[in-house]
Amino acid sequence: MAEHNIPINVTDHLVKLISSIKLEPNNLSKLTCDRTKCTSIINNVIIGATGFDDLVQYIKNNKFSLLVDESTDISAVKNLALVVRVCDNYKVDDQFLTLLSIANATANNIYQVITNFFNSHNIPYKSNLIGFAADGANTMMGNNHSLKSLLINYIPQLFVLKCVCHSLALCAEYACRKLPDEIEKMLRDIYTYFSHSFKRQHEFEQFQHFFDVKHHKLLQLSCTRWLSLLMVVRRVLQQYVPLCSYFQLQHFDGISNSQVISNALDNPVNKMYLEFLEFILPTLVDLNLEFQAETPKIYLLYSRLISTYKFILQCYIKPEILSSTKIEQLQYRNPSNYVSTTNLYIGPKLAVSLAQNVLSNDQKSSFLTNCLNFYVTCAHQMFTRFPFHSKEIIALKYLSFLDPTNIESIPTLGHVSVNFPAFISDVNALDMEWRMLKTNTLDLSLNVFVFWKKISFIDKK
Amino acid sequence: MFLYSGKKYLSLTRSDDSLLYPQLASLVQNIFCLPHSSACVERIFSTVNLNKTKLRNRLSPNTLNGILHSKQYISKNNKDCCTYEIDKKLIDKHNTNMYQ
Repeated sequence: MAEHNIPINVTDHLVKLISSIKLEPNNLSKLTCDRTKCTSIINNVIIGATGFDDLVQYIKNNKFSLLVDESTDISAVKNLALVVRVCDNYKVDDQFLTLLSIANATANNIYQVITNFFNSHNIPYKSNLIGFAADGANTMMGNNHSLKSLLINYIPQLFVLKCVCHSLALCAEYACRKLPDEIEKMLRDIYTYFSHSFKRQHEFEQFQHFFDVKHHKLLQLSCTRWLSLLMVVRRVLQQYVPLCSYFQLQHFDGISNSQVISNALDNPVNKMYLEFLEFILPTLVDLNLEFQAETPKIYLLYSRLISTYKFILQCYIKPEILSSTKIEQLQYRNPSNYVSTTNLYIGPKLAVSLAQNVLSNDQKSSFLTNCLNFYVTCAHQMFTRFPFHSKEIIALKYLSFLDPTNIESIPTLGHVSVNFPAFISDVNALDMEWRMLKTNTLDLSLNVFVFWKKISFIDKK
Repeated sequence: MFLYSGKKYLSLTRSDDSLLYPQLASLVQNIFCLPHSSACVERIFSTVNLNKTKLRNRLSPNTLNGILHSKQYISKNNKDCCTYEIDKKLIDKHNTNMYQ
């Protein structure tokens, strides 16, 4: 461990591994494996014999979805990662397919590299590729000339979805820009104040001890991590009291920069903004977390998105308008639909602190206006990223038939057939099966996968 | 368990007369295949960054590919390096050809 700088955690497995090897001591001494052999085994035995070949074989014969992204690694090699999503016997798996180095990440080039890969392994992707997902980058998902448009040109029936998690993270990011920059600056400043100084961290630990707060470190606000803002906000709020007094003392000692932070922390508005974020961000973050999962949730996507969108609208749209208008037609940017700023819903904690009148009237109204702007931008971003009246999103709505509890309420799969024609060979036969299924007594409480697996194995008796 | 049991799967999709819901079954399987996010690709890059570090910066793309596949292959059936059983397929591949 020490000689090769290997993590000590490795011993957990190493000792078990050694004791699990059942070889005669004589044979063990004949064992050789140096770096060349090890590399070859990793590259050619494990890839060749198993993982890769099996997977390629599988997607040659079955439908699959392709997930793509690119990233540059530490030695400045640009990698394109291909992951395929396959469904084998009602078990859905995201399987890593390959990592390809690409010198230039234009739509044409990426398309070329991917098609070359499929062709060289004889994968009939025109018939077997049914879904495609990537982040929202223009080379991947742009309308005019992108990997998406090139793929659709070749496979017209392809189902394409911009990554839900990326989109939700961007919604949150744009909405947060409507709050004063000061908040973000304060969060960054607090982190950097401690990040490189053990002395300051140690001093702060004593404050934490004194105020009986958990000895947690402060977190960094990262732009590439989707969930970091909420975590940072929660951590700062948890440590708010020791932070305030710590920075007051630092300020008193005349340490540069601490004055700015101290003033920001002492301003009650800033704390209220943090509390506002702590209240509203989970709506988006929880949704993001749910859709990061590997299990297929696509049939839930529509209803989850709608309920989140509704939750945000509920906070600032007049209730009578919300209940009388269809959600996809509601004018979320029309000021005449807004509730008056004093009636804005900003969470239970803030309702109390606002009533305590710590803020002047001016501060209060600018705070509420900013919160309103946050909501409006959030609704706007959600609506532009998931256009609820568009064909693609409405198609998702009809997938809710997969949920066993919905079976009784859906009379026909006609809408599904219209929106996903590629998956259906005979519309009438399918609907017959559907009507027949509804007449049976089914155990609707089963998990979706178990349920459909059972259905598919029912035979004519 | 994820088995590439091609036969079993095909018996569902080829509308075998003995099955009651062949169309529905194939539709459902196809829909389960559809993606909703590309989060898992980001996970691949996390793994890449864990392997290709400052000290291992000359790791070739080929080896990296091998490492990622090996990792996936071992963890796929909830196994780890101690409980993994080496089957005949692996041993057969373990010959001089592997150095090519």
